[in-house]
Order: sequence, then C-alpha cells, then structure tokens
Amino acid sequence: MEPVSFGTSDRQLLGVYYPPEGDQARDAAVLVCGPAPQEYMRTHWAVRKLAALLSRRGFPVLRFDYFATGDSAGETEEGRPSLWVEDVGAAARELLDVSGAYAISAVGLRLGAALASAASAEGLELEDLVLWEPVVQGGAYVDELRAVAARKYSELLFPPDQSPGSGQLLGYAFPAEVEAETRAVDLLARRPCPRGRVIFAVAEERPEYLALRARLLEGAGSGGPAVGWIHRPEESGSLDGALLSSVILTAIADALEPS
Amino acid sequence: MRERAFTFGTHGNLFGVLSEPDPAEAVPGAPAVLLANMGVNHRVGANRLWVDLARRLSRQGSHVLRFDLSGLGDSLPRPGAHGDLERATLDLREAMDFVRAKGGPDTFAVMGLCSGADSAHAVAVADPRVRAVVYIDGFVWRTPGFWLRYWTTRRLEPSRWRRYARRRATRRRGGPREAGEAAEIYQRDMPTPEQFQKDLRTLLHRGTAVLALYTGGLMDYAYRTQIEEMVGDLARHPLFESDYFPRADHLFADLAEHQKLLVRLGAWMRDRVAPARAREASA
Repeated sequence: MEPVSFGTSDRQLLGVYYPPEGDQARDAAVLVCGPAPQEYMRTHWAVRKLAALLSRRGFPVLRFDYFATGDSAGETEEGRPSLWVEDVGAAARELLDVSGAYAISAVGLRLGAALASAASAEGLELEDLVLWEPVVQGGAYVDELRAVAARKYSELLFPPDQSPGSGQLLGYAFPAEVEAETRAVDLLARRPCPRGRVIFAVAEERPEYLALRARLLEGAGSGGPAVGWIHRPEESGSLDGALLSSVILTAIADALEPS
Repeated sequence: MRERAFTFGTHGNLFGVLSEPDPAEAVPGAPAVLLANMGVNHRVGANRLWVDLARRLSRQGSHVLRFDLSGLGDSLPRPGAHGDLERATLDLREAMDFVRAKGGPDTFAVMGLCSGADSAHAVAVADPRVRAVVYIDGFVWRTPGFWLRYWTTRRLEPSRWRRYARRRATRRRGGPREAGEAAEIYQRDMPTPEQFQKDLRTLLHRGTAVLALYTGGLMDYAYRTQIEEMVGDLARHPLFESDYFPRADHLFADLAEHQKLLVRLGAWMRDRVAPARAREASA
C-alpha cells in the first residue's frame, strides 16, 4: 500500500496504490471510485477492504479522494460532480502510469458509480465497469440523503438546517450549484461504454437498477457492452451489512477475474 | 502549506498525512499537532473536521500530522498483543518521532474527540513531549449541578419539547436511516473522577496546557460550568481552559458550529499555546 499524489498543482489528489500481490498477473488494473462526499466516511472501510482484496487477487489497484473531499486538496464547498468526473480520468492515467498496466477496469460505489460511468461515456477507456449500488438518478439520490438527514438529526436538540437553501447536507457544504449538478446526474440518459462489461453489484433489485439494466441490455446486441448482474439478496435489509460484509466484495472480485 | 502522505512507524504500519507550514510562516516554538481517529472514523475526521483543522493550524505556522491508529483507517494492525490505550500510546509516540524526523518540533499538542480524547490523554500523561492537549467531548461525569438541572429546568427547555415532537413525527414517517445510526456500539472506559483529577494535576504542574471542550451532543454534560464542578480548583489553573458549544452536536455537523470549533482551536493554539512555548524555549 503506497500513498500517491497526482493531479494538477491546484488540484492535488491523494490516492492509495495497492501493488499486485502473488504471481497471478492480471491484464487490467482496477480503479476504485468511492462515493462523495456525504457517503464518503461510512464507506471508507468497505472501499479499503475491496482494494486490499483485489490486490491480493493480483490486480494493481488505486483508490483515491476526489477534489475537495477526504485528504485531497480543496475546500469542501469547491467540490462538484463535473470536477470529480475529471478526477476519475486523472486517477485512471495515474494508475496506468504507476502500475504499468495496459488497461483499466473501474468499480464505482454509489455516486462513484455515476462518476465512473460518466467518465466512460465521455471517452475514458475502460475494460469492465462495476456499478456497485449505483446512484442512477441524482434527484432521487439527493432526496434520499435529505430523508436520511431528517431522520438522523431528529435526535438532536438543535438540528442543523438541511433545507435546499441552507447550503449544507449531512455535515458537508452543499451549495445550490452543487445540488443542481448532483440532481442532473442521470445514468439512463448517458450510457457508459466500456469495452467489456457493465456489471451491477446490488443488494436489492431496486426499480432504477432494473431500468438501467434494461436500457443497457438494449444496446448490448448492437455493439454495446455486455451486462453482468451480481445480486446478493442476503445483504439486503441493512446497509451496514452491505457495507461491512465481505460477500459482495468477494463477488465483485470474482466477477473481475478473467473466466 | 504543503501536505504529503506517508507510511511510518517502527513497523511501517501507520498511515498519515503531514501538513507542513510554509517556512516563512512557521511559528518558532509552536508544538506540532497530532490528530488521530475519532472512534472508527479514519484520519479525515467526521465531516472532514480533521482535514479542515490540520490545514488551518498549518497555515497558522504549525506542523500537523493526522493519522490512523493501528488497525483503523489505512493503518495496518500493530504486531503483538496490546490493550487499546497502550497501543494508541505507542502509535502516538511513533507519530511524534516521525514528525521530529521530518524536521518538525520536538514538542506536541494532541487533540482528540470522543474516544480520541482517551488516547490523547493517555499519551499526554505518558510522554512529557506533549505540551498541550485538547479533549473534545472527552471525560465527563454527572455532578450535583447536572442532577439539579436534570430534575428541574431541563424539562422546561423548549428545545427538548421540539425534539420530542420531531422524533415522533420522524418515526411515524419511517424512511431511510444512516448505517450505524440506530445503536450505540461504542463502549469507553473512562478514568474515575479521582484518577482524572490526579492526571490533570500532573499535566498542569508539568506545564502542559489543557483545553476541554464540550458540545450539547454529549448527554451527560448539561451546562457551561459543569467542568468546574468536575475538576474543582484545577479549572482555575492558568494553563486550563474550557468551553461549551451548546448548539453543536457531537460531530459538529452544522457548518456554523464546525467553523466555530476551528476558530476556537486556532485561537487557542495561536494565542495561548505557541507564545507559552516560545517563552519557555527562550528562557
């Protein structure tokens, strides 16, 4: 595990690179794109575990913090999805450089899945793309975060204002323009185009996942990517279970291994 | 200010980010600041609190290392069998050695929130290089003044009735909840009041500055001067300060309260800790 810094001088990003272990050489390195920023902290352990697992399976792996999140440069209010899509590209270039691999697959968790998907739609060359509990539509995602905030902060004597004009959401700055960009996320509108497969990794069959899968399957016959589906219903009912269990992580690693 | 990430420690298992001040802005005598985990949150801190604090203090002229204790965040487990506080103390001491080896000072301020205050306290007592320590929602016990309020004025506070109505409405609505929100899964072993007072006396007499901060999110801390009831005369020691953020929750989720905390800690380091260390160094 090696810390790496990359990006431009005014947008330094911090990542953690995991060299491949063992003698099972893989064709593609794996870029792990975590959520940001409201779900960043509580998914860190799962992202770290996945990166370590993939590295033990022989993949070179990079995970990283987007601009203005985690340890990367930038004030929290400066971060926004359009910049983070650029960061996915910068991280992919860094991973190719540091690993010497010729191809990259990406695993995106929650908003990270939408960002990796957008990067692919904008031309980032990927082998496989894993959509792990993906945020399919930004509007529903923001509404869900607000509902979580309302419930969570109902326990406080002085709950922080989480209304749309408040400029904050779940402990992070969330200016109106960032909310607008986040709401504009729509995986149904811009399909990713990896060379290999788009693989879903989900705990429950949510309608938006099924809609996206159907949309991708439409294109699969006409040169679009093949579609994979990892469904682990035993993980459902508890987000804690999905994030802390190794079952889904192992299934993702299995799916990325060449058959 | 520049930041670099490192792995360090005797076993190379610790992971942290060092914020270094611009040489022209480095404050002579300012202790380096150590920030470790808040509970199981990694070094970034809940709501990015440690990142914001590290950068603020570094811009004020201090070296700041935020890092993960063994087995948490990106740090690997430490070999051997150790209790939690013993392990944290070893980690924090290795963090001090690392900062020093990177050209930082040989005195330190250790800041901890919640269970992070436990490890900050343990290393402060154990290592004389610690010249300042901050406990945020650290040690607390119920005092006679707490119970008096508990049974009288507490029930008259409008904020409590508003919360009661809000909780009922939210539970009726149902909906999504955040992972780990439902149950209290952390257990802390606090020192007895007598042991804490003894430790505090040792620290203050040794010349270590102490800042105890409390939030309205800590159920057992009910009013601004409860700390004076808890530690008696020691609260009037010139090296001791306390403050209370009644509107803040335990993790400073509200951005205004988050900002207030950064300002408070920045001012304490700039106006109290750094000058005292500079005087000491020139004496």
